[in-house]
Amino acid sequence: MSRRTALAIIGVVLAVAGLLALLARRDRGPSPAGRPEDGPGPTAGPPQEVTLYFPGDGDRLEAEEREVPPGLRGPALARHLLEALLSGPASDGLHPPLPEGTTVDFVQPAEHGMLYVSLAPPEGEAPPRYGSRAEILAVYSLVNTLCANLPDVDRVALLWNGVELTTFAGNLDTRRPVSPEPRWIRSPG
Amino acid sequence: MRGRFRLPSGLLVAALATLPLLAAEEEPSGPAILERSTATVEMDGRRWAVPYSVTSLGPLFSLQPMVTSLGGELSIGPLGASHTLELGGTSLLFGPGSGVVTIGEEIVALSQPPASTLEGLQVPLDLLRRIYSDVAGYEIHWEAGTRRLSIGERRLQQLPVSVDVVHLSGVTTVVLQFASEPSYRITRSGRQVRVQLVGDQALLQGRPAQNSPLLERLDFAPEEIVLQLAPGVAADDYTLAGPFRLVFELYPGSETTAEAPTFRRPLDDGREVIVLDPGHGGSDTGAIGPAGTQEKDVTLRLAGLLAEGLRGRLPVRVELTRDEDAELPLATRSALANQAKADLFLSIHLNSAHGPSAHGTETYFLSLEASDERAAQAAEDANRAAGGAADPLTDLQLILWDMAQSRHLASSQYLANLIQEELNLALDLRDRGVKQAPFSVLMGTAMPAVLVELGFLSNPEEEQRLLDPAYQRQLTDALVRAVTRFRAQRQGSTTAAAGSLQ
Repeated sequence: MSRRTALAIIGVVLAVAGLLALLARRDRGPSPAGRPEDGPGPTAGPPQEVTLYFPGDGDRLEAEEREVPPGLRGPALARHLLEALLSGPASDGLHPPLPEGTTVDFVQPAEHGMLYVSLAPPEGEAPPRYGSRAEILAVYSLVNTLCANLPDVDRVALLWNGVELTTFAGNLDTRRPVSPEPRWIRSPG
Repeated sequence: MRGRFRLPSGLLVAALATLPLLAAEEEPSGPAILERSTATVEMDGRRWAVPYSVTSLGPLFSLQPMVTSLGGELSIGPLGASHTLELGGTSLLFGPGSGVVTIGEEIVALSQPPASTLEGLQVPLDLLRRIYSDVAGYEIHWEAGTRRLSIGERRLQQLPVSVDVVHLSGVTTVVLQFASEPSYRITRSGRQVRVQLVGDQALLQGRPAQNSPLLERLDFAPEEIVLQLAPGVAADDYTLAGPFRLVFELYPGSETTAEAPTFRRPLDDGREVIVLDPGHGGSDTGAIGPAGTQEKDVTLRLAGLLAEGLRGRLPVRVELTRDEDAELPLATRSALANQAKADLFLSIHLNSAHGPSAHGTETYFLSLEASDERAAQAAEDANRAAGGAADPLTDLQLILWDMAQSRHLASSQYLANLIQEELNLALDLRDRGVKQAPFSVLMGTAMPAVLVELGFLSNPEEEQRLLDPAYQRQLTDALVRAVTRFRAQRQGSTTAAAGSLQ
């Protein structure tokens, strides 16, 4: 292989890699300045196991085990978990906590184990109006999942489009950060 | 001692720690801010700048510079949720995201909620006028084009006032007709209703013939008109324009207050007060069943039935936070109960789940513990980091108005147990038990308070049952029995306690 051919191949490889990186970045959406959530990203190694809690058919949350890329930590892992919850469960009899089309607006850690999570309802729609039980399971699906998989997080402040609302979906108070509640999780067996 | 009242200190620190983050992003529960700028305030030839914002509902002005210049003592609750302004003997309570202001004992709706911003709390023009025009007597003019807020001392006017008193069909109407609209405030104390003019004087045009059994006396002074009501009489007021008239309707309280949709000034007739809160309303439908049943409609029906049942069985006054399809903020519902000095608060709801199978009733009382324990820990960490010990005064301040329910949790739990027990006895429903959750409507209630979920609208069979009048009656009868048992137990405790003191 001539020196010129080798350089051409390297050039093509770099161009393709650059294009792929650009596409990957576009898929993730814009990353506004000041968002600290592009923290540690995936690294080499075996995937890590996480537990997601989805609302079940009955009156409790049910666990679903998943694997996520190795090395994902902090806000990047939080966003990954939230997006997995919003995408819905793999198992029958479980439900996504929020209506289809709900997206993660931003994730931002704060002091004292608190994590801000801002969600965005589907475009043009208001946050969902749920009955109490559906609302409880939606809130604790998010909070229990985040707190179970992120060792530094023990409370979650929920916002809609960056705005703190008096109530999440009509009943529960979300002016204060929410702590995980294992009692909403169905016991195994 | 680490007791329950210490817990909110954590919330205080946690909330304070996060306020800058929140303030940078948003105004809670209010319309989006379209513009942030500075307005010029002019007063007595002086000028100063005040930060202001514009939303789709109008301008918002930073309050603190106004308080500094115009007077008043502003205190902010530890969570930043409640702002109290003491001015000229009047106490005004308001907060970010809340669409109402409490002035003395009166709750007044605002054009838009105050907003928490980087420049501190910003309030709408009408709240500014409520404070500094109605209470302090200033005239305030806002020119949007030049962004100028002109404030002047109100020029004393002598306003001719004519008075009519008419007694018809058991109701007395008192009409105060003014030559032009005065600045005034209405205060109530016992059987006296006082109309106090702010910066104006009333010039009485002849004395009215007073022949009403409901009005003992009508006293006039240039600054004040006082209605002395007969015992047991309630009075509502409203205004009419062209010419400006201030109208009072006087009626025997026991006959009419029971059906009042709102109860801004409840009659204190010594009876226990039970406030029923039909969940949701207006554009807030609540849950919607598969057949299209809206939670707000059924809760209103159930609350009406329950009110009937309670009035028929118990010597109590029953009030509804809404008796029509109206939207009512959650904070207003608990504020109404507090204002009525309610002895009991029942919020009536219907449930929904993600799947169709969930069914049955459940009763909730407020949950504070979990988040507060962690918040308390955070507070301790912060104290330690600051190198200081906990300030006992701070702990006293922790008994917040918006955490008022913390004092009644045991009673609320007891009531919730009785309700669930009676529902289980009466109905062939799955017992979903008594639970705790941080329900917004229960947060600020200063009395035993529960939220009852009377069935799942998301379950097609239960949705149909909930529309059946006989089934609705079964549900509300069970609630009446639970309230009856709760009252009996409380009265028994009171009697026992009184006996042990003698």
